[in-house]
Amino acid sequence: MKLFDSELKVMDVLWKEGDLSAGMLAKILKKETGWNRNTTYTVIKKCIDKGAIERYGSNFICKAMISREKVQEYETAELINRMYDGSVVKFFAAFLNSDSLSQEEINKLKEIVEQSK
Amino acid sequence: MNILGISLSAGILIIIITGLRFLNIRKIPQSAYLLLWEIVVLRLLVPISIPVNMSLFEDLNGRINDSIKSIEKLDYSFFSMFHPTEYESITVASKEHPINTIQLLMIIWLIGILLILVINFLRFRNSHQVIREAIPMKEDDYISGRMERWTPKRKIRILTSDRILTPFTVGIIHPKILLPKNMDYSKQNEVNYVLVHELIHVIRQDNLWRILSFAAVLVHWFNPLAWLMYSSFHRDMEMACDEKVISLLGESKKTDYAMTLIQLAEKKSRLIPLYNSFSKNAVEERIVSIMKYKKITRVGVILSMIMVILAGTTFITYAKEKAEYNPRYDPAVNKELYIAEVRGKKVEARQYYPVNENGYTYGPNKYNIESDLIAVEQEEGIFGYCYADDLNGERPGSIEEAFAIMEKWKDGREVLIYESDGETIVGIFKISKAVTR
Repeated sequence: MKLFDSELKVMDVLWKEGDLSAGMLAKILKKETGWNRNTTYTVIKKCIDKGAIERYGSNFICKAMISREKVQEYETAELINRMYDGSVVKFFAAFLNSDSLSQEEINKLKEIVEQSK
Repeated sequence: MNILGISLSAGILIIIITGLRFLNIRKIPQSAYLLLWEIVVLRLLVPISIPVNMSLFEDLNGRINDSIKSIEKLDYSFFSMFHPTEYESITVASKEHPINTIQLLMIIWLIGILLILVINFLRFRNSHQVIREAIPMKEDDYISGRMERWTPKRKIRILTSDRILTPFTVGIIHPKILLPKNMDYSKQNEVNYVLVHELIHVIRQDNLWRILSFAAVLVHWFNPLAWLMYSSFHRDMEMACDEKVISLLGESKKTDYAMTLIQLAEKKSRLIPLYNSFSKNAVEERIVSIMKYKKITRVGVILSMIMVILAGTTFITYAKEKAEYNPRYDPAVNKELYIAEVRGKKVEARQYYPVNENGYTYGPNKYNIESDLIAVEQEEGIFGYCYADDLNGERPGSIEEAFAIMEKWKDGREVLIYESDGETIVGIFKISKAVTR
């Protein structure tokens, strides 16, 4: 599912800390982003509408219904489809060609490719 | 001064400023136009007039004010809205009951305001939500370094959002700069331009003026010139901001800055397929203005000051105006005085007769033209003045009306005698029975 930055921020906290009450979320996010309580609640509601969060209990405990990996998968697939003609190969080629990888990182990538064979 | 009078005088100023803008006089800096528009907005929102007593201009301004007054007659005063019964005794040109037309106009005015508020409320709510959900920028040394250097005392937050396309500033008391996520933050000179531009908006309190200009259009929505003012003002705000950026960063950076703007605009148009031609024109206007940038000269400053002073004269009126509610002139409180105040004043008579403090001419009837107040003398030796309008009585619109009037006043009638000020009542003048044969 498509999550905006603000929603990702909320999910981030849940992924890191586990299930939290809406009040706790508001407190943590206030410190991290300066959002006031109502803003946080609005974002949480949007996440609930998208199915990313489920609320239970009388304290409005929020539970992440989608994992970080799943969202990563979605965003990456979006990116590859949009910018690299849907070709994962093209995506990696572009990545490797740019000077943004150190030798260490290249070696690590090679390892991963080897292992997944 | 009432709303129609204000709208009219501000409208004249708006036409003049728009004309100046059209002429594109290079010497005048863009920031001068900002001052002019600010004066217009203040004029539209603040119902104050500064009375200046200058007999030299009294005649000319008597004429201008009379034309404004004739528009005002449609409206009387704001407070008379709530005392409709007084209208029966006032002779007005229109045959219909003035009450319904005026109350209807007021209702339409209020509905217009409500409509505009409702339409803009949704827009505002959506953008407000996006702003509230913006996230503080990841630590960027360059940006925080710049902000620290330029505004060390003031804490202006910089936030980023994935739902905006161009950078902008929000807030008046706690200003925040919002940057789009998809900006190339590695190009430091571009980041520089954006930051400086937005900071100037903050320093100039442009957001406050945006709100004030919106309020002005809200109140004067019926005046198309107000809408013209709104769009011109906003365009000039941007151009004046660009001008300041170049003046701060140096004329040599003109091209670079313009290119940055074009790129930002390009990005926006790519993402919004229906990028309308209005915005394109606005951007074009800005680019042209930037490239034509010239340092502010002394001549420019003097010209600007002259224009600002001339613009300020919209606040001045030469006749005596009552700015605030004065219970003396409230028809519910002082009926006779109210009638006197609303009477017309014959400006032509001023060549022949002296003028009293309320602007009415008075004197014995010597010339072809009647004065407003005509001298009368009664048997008991009471000497004073009666309003010509009162003496002449109601003007019949038809023969039937003429007979009806004669019938009504067949036993004679009474007319109030005043002192030359047209206010102080000194006696009653009896007009004897009409001769019917």
